[in-house]
Amino acid sequence: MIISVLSGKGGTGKTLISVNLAAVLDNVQYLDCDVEEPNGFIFLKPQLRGKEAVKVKNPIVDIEKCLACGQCVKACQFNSLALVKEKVIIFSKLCHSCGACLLVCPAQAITEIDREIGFVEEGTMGDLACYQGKLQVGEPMAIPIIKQLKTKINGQRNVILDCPPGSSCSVVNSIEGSDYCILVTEPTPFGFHDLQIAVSLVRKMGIPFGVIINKNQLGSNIILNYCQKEEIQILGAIPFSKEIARIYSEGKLLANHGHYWNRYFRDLAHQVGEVIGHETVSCN
Amino acid sequence: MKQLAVISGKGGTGKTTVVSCFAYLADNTVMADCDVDAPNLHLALDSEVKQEKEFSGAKVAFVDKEKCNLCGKCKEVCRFQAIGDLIINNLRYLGVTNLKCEGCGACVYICPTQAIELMEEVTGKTFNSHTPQGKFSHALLDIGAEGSGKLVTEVRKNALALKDEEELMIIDGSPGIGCSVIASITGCNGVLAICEPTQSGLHDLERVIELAQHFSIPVFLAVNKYDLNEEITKQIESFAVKNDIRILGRIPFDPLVVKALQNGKPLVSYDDSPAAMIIKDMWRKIKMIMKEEEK
Amino acid sequence: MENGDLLKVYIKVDKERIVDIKFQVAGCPKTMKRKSNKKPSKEGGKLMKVGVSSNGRYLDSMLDPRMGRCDYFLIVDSESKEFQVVDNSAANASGGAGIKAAQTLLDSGVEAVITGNVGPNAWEILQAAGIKVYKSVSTTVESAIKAFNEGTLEVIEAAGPAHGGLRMG
Repeated sequence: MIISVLSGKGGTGKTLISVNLAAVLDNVQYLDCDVEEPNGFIFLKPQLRGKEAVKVKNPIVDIEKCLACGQCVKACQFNSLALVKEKVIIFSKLCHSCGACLLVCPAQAITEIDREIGFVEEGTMGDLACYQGKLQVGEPMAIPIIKQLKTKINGQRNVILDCPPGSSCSVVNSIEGSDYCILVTEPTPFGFHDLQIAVSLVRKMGIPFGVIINKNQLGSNIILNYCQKEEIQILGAIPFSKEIARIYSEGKLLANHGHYWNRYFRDLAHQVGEVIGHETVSCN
Repeated sequence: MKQLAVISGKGGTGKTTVVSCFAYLADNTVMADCDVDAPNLHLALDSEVKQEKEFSGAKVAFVDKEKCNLCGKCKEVCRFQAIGDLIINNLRYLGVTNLKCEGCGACVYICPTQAIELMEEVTGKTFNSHTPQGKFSHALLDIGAEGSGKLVTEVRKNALALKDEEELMIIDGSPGIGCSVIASITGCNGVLAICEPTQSGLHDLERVIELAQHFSIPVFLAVNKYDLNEEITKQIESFAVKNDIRILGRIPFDPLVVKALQNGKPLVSYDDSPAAMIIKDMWRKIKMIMKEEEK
Repeated sequence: MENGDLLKVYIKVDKERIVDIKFQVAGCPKTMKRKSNKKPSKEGGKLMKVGVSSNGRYLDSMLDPRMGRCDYFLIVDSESKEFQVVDNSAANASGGAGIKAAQTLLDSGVEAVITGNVGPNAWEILQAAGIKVYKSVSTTVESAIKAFNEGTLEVIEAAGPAHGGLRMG
């Protein structure tokens, strides 16, 4: 079962929910798909087991064969090629690795080489298998790393995907193929606005979902009212609490902080399992 | 016109709160909300949209069924699994999944019957708005769309076009370090990084500062909700000092931040708001820095 | 060239001076790859084809300092002031605007460029092409050309920061 945790708005508590769920579930994998700013490992502190580079394909031109005809430059939709004094210059960071230039070259002068843009790392914390991806600073494209990270998914296990903020193509690539989405929000005007964006996204992708209200305060009904109106299931609420904020700030797992919170996340996991009608959700 | 971008690495640190306060405190600025996925600045400003334009951020391939001979070469060359079989009324067609198509044109080239065309796809909207605090450029990217970097560039271009006598553009950035953030900060005179006192916040701050330094843009720092964890606040501040980053302020946690938003009032109008007091002081420092630079 | 290739040479003469030469070849691809934009030029701003980033389509239009994102390039003969307008298709590019703009200027046969700022990618292209870049802001295209001819424009010696786009352009 693959559960994605996303939010629309940043800083609402995706990682809080993801890492704590992962900590209480059985037979689980945790994947941090926020490859620009991964935080999950700070909390799970896994023992690192392996690291692999994420590479993308970029073109390389054989000068002997090149006719300097400029067809590749014309064909590239991303302006990553230029022809100067009969020599092709390649701007790798703009390249989308589509292979169009290889196809159009009349002299078959273009082949591809691999270029590293980041890495995927794995580790374990007890039975918990953890994975994260990191995009090299300065590289613009996160998606190849998210894709490589997701090849680690074992569909037989309970998989928690900690997603990037927003609703862009990075989020789409992260949540695609999930069985269920947990949308984390906060009861503020910004949280509400961005929740609606996240709801549109999961609806567009046809993935069942529920909402968790984090940093909840009595009297803030903006999210409750919206969910009621839209018939969206509320999975739970975590109160606003300086104590929780402090535990989180120190990089600690709330689920390991006493019986109450441990029980809370187990119940949450069971509830999600019930909603999807999955029987294999079990806790350690 | 100088440009200052407010970024954070980690989301939810208070960028929009700070930018909206600056908007109220400044007289001669243009605002740009470059968080095009989940824009929030318009919620904090009393803004009125004056102009709305469709934005085309991408091209997608389109297969003309009349010309298609179903040879499938397009499927073979597509590296994004964007072309697949469609069954409509028991007939098989080849069709493109827009969400996956990168608009590279490989299929257009390979098609033996020229049945495929690249078409501009509307992927969002840009807005030029007026607020009592000044002109405001913002946008909204369609759900799941690609090309956020290009839309950010468009928002900045529109903000520049709105300029009249203004001396400063303040940019509300998005979380992360990828193409949206890169497009938000390139060419800026300075970047203000807002950090919260958490391990995650510090970790993300390091990466976003590396990004700004990669583009040789001077960085300033403010710690928001600093009193939630004073030890980590100190760690953040030593990191800043070690990296020659000037600290502009420590903003305390303040429940009035949300209250002000809910009441539709600017935070800086609350005289008893401790956060507003620090943000006002930060603004004074920024003005001084700009004056120093001019000399 | 090889036997059987066809070469046509066009010479434009004005006041007993050759002012333009173009040639056209029909034949094997290796020969066809030679570009025909050879033009007589001198140093010091005389008789040069100069590309200027512009807000509008006329000589009295304001120069647009952003080479990658301006709307037009005016390709001006610095002596006769005759000019062509080239649309900057890079203005709409999602990425690589500087690259595309530089390529457009190159393909228009310019020998010098007048603009406000050149990002690192466009810079790489113009350097490789041996095209000198001169700085001008807040002026009309016409005034910029005048200053160019008088030799008063500052030469841009290095790329500016990648401006307003993805780092890559």
